[in-house]
Amino acid sequence: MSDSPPPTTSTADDLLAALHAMPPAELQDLLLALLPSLPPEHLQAVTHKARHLLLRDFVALLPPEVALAILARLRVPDLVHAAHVSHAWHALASDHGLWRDLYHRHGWTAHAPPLPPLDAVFQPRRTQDPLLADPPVPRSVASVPGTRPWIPPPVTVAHEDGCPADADLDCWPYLFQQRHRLLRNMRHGTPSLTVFEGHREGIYCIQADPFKLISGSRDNTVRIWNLRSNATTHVLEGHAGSVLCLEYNATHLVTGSSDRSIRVWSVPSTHDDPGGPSWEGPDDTYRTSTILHGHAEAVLNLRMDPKHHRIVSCSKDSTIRVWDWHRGACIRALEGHVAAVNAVQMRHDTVVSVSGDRTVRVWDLRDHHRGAVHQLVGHVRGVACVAFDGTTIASGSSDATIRLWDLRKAGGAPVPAHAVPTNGLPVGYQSTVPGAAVAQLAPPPIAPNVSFAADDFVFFAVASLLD
Amino acid sequence: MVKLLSSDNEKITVAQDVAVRSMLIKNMLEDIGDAEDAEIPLPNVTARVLKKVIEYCEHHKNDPMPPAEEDELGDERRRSDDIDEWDADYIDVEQELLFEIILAANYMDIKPLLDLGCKTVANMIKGKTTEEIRKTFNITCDFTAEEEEQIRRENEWAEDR
Repeated sequence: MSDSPPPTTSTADDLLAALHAMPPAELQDLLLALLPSLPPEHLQAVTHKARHLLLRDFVALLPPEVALAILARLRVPDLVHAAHVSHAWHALASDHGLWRDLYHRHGWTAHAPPLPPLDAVFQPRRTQDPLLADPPVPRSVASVPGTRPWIPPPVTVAHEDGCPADADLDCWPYLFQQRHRLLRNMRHGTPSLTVFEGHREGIYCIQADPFKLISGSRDNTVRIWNLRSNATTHVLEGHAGSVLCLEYNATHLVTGSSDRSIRVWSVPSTHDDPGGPSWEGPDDTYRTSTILHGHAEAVLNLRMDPKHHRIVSCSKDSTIRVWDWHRGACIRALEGHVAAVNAVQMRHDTVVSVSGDRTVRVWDLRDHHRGAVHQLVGHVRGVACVAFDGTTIASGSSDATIRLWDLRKAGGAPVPAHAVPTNGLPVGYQSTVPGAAVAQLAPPPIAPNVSFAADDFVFFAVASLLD
Repeated sequence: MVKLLSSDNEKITVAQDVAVRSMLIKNMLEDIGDAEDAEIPLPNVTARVLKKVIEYCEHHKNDPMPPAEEDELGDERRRSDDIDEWDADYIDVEQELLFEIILAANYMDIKPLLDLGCKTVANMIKGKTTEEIRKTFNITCDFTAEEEEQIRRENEWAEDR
C-alpha cells in the first residue's frame, strides 16, 4: 500500500496513529470510500491482503480437543500431509488416540499380539521352566521388508484370556503403519523375493521370525535359515518321512511327519541373537528332546500350548491327539472325524479341527468323556485349513469357500456367518498339486493356513521351492 | 424468552427452545430455575458471533437433541460429505468467522454446530498437499531442513509406491 511516494515519516506515522484511533466502523467507511480510487492491480493487492488477514490456522489455534476432532475426520493420506504442515500440526497429527481410532476404523483389531513379541526374542529366559517363559511367535506375522531396524516399544502383554486391553497399547501410529505396510505389500506385491535353496524336495511348512525361518520338507529334513545371510544354519535329520507341519517358540520346535511321529526339538538359546558371542558356539544345536508315537498315519498339523506343555496334533488317521510334552505321552485321542483331519487350532481348552469329512469340529479338553462339542456342517467338500480367535472360526475348503462360524451363537449347530468365495481374495498361494481343482485350497497334505485379518482373509501359504 | 449478554455487552433475547440448543445455557437455566429476568452472560462470545450462532439454533430448534455424552466419534459424525444444503450455506463464511463459530459452539456446547464446523475445516484439508494446506490457512512452515527431512522419512510408509 506504499506505492505512491510516501509522505515524510512523521506525517505518515501521525496519519496512521490517527486512523488507528478511529472507531472501526468509521475506519471501514473511510477505507471503502478510498478503495474506488485505487487502480485495479492495487485493489487486487488490497483484496489479497484482506483475505489473508481473515485466514486462520484452525489446528494450531483451536483448543487441542477441537483440533483433534477436525483431524479425526481425515483419511490417512490427508493426515500424513497434515503432519507435515508445521510443528503444531505434526504434534496433533501424531496423536495416539487418533491413530487408535483410525486403526479400529479400518476394522483392525488387536486381539492377539499384533506383532511378534520381540521382547521375548531378545530377553534371556526368565523362568526355570522354559516352557512357561515365552508365548509362541505368532506364525501369521511375517516380517515386513524395510522395517526391521525399527524395534517397537514393548507392544503388549497378553492378558489371562489372551486378549490385550487396547488401552495398554501405546504405539498406535506404529501399529497402524505396520498393518498398512503388510496389507499394501500383500495387495501390490512390493515385497522383495528371496529364494532359499537347499531342500532337495518340496517344502510343506514354514514359520519365521525376524531372525530365522524354519522349513519342513518332503526330503525328510527341517532346515533353519538365517534371515540375515539367507543361508542354512542347521539341517535337522531324524524324521523318516516328509516333514508336514511344524511350530516353534523361543525354546522349542515341534515337527510332525508322514512317518507318523512328532518330534520335539530344543531351540538353542543363542539362536535369536546371531550377533551374540556364542553364535557358533557348542550349544548351537537343535536336539530332539522327545519323540511322540501314537498316530497311525501321517501327522498333518499340530499346535503347541507351551503354557500347559501340551501339543495337539491331527492325523490322516482321522484322530486328534493331545500330548503331554514333558512326559512324552499321549493324554487323549479325540475321535469322531471320519476322514483325515487336515488342520487343528487350539485356544485355551478349546480345540477346533477340520477334516476331509467336510466338517469342522469343536472339542473341549476339559470334558474328558464327550466327543466333539460342536460339529459344524456346511462345507460341501473337504476342509483344508482353519483359523480360530476364540470366538470366530474361519475354515477354508476345497469347495472354494471360506466359512466364518461364530462360536458365541453356538447354541446347538452354529450357523455360518458368511461363506466367502475365495475368488478375488488376496491369495498368495500357488498349488503344488498337479490337477488340483481349487488352486487356492489344495487338498492335504499341503494345507495352507487361513489367518485372520478383520477386513481381509489372508493366506500365508506354503509354496514349493522346487516348483 | 431467555436473555443473553454478549462479551461486548449486547443484550440478545431468544426463545427458550432456541437457547437450549446450547447445553451451556440449558444447564444454566436449570441451575437458576425460574428467575425471569436473569441474564445469562456469555463472556467468550461477541454479539456478532452470538447472532450467527443463534441463527443456527433457530433453524435447528426442532431437531432431536443429540445424545448428552458421545465421546467416540461415530461413523455418522465422522462423515463430512453429508452436510445439508442449509448448513452448507450457513457455514460458507470467511475462515475468521468460521473459527469464531467453532470456538463459540465448543464453549456453548452445541455439538451439531461444533461438528458442522469441524467437518467444514476437515473438508478444507482433504485432498490437499502439505503446501496447499499451508496456503489455505496461511501457515508458515516452521521446520528446519533437518526436521523436514526427518518428517519426510517418518511419513514414507504412507506414500504410494
